[in-house]
Amino acid sequence: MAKIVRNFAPPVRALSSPYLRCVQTLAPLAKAVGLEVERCDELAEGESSSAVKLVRALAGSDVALCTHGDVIAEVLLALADEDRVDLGPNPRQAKGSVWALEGSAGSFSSAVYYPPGVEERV
Amino acid sequence: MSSTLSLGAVELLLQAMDLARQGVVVCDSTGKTLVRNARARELVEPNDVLAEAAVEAALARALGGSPHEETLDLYSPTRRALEIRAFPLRPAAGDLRPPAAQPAGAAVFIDDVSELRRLEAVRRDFVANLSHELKTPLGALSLLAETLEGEDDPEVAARLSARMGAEARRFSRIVDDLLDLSRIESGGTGPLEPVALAAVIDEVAEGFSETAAARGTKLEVDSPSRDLYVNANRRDLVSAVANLVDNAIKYSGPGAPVQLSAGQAGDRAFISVRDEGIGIPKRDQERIFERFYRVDRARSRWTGGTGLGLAIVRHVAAYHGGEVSVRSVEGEGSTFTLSLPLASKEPKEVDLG
Repeated sequence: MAKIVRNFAPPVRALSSPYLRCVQTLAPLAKAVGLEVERCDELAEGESSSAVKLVRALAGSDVALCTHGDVIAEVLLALADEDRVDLGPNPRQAKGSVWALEGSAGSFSSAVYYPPGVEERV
Repeated sequence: MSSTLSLGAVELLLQAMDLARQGVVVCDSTGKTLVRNARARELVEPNDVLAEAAVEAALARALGGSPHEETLDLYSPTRRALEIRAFPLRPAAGDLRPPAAQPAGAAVFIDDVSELRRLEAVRRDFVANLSHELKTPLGALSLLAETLEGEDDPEVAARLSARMGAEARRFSRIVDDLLDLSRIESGGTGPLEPVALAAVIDEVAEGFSETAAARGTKLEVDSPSRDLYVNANRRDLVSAVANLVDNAIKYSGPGAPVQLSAGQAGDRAFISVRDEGIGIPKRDQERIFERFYRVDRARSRWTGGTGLGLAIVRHVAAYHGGEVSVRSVEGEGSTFTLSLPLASKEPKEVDLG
């Protein structure tokens, strides 16, 4: 993940689900840019609607988030449905993959998928 | 064509041209107008400077020897688009005059393509919307399936599986609604026949009794008298009223009342669905009957709406010679009213005086 996010501006916050495995996934990136991982209940497993609200509130800022598969799916589906973000012909979300979201003022305009282990934009 | 047409034949030809739906202007080799049919005079009025200039320019280019084609967008006095096509006219075969360097004349054909363009824009928007609406649940299934594959927690797996079921049902509802809409748009399922309004109201009320009870909605029904009839396709009318009641329940809080009533107002029958739900912002009230228009897309996702329900209602109303209207105040509720021509079950007696 730390390698993938080199494609972007350094995050100013690192937010994670309170679950240990998520915090541990985000820790190397946070450390690399001198941040502490913030634990957010909104990103916990099963918290899809509060996660959507949180992500919308963060639109336009450079933030790294780490959460669970079911939460990521719901966030992406909300953006596809409500903001008409194109998730591509066959949207995926393998474990360890990254979705880069771009937006501003509460809504999103694009979402790009990075499979696990891929460091460049695909 | 022979150049020795009699005056009578020319007169007939000009009369026929005046009946054409296409504007036609013909000029001679000097640019002098010989013929301007009725449709051309209608499409390009004398004070329509831009259109007149475009026709003149097209004729001049055709007199130069080349065909010309353009679409002219006009914004005043009304917005419209004219397609202008100009062609050089050559002396007929067998003409004994020496060939001229310049065409013998030119003809311009003018079509008002405003409606065609509007329909094309509607079709384009519809296809774009449809692609998105179908792609979203399919994308959801793909994402959720991959998430489910890697999931060990049975609770999460069950939730993902339920979500996949919901997305599959959503896809199916969109396709069903599209087929309904297409069937109704192409003239419904058959001839209209007298249908008792009370029977329609009772059928819809019965169909929603369980849903209303499950949400704690008080479905209050005011059935009309048994002798009130409308000429209708019963299935379509029930479907339209059911759409209105479904929306009323979805957009009302638990325990809130929904009133379903019907009756007679003058020579019209009405069916009214009133709720005390969230209401519809004024700016959206004009557009809610458009296909795939949603006031709140986030809420629509969770209520399972397809975005086609009110479009179906509008088409059913139109197909029955009626209309649907809405009165709504945000935060207070909405009333949808279907107004339809009354019908008598027995043929009306004719008063011969």
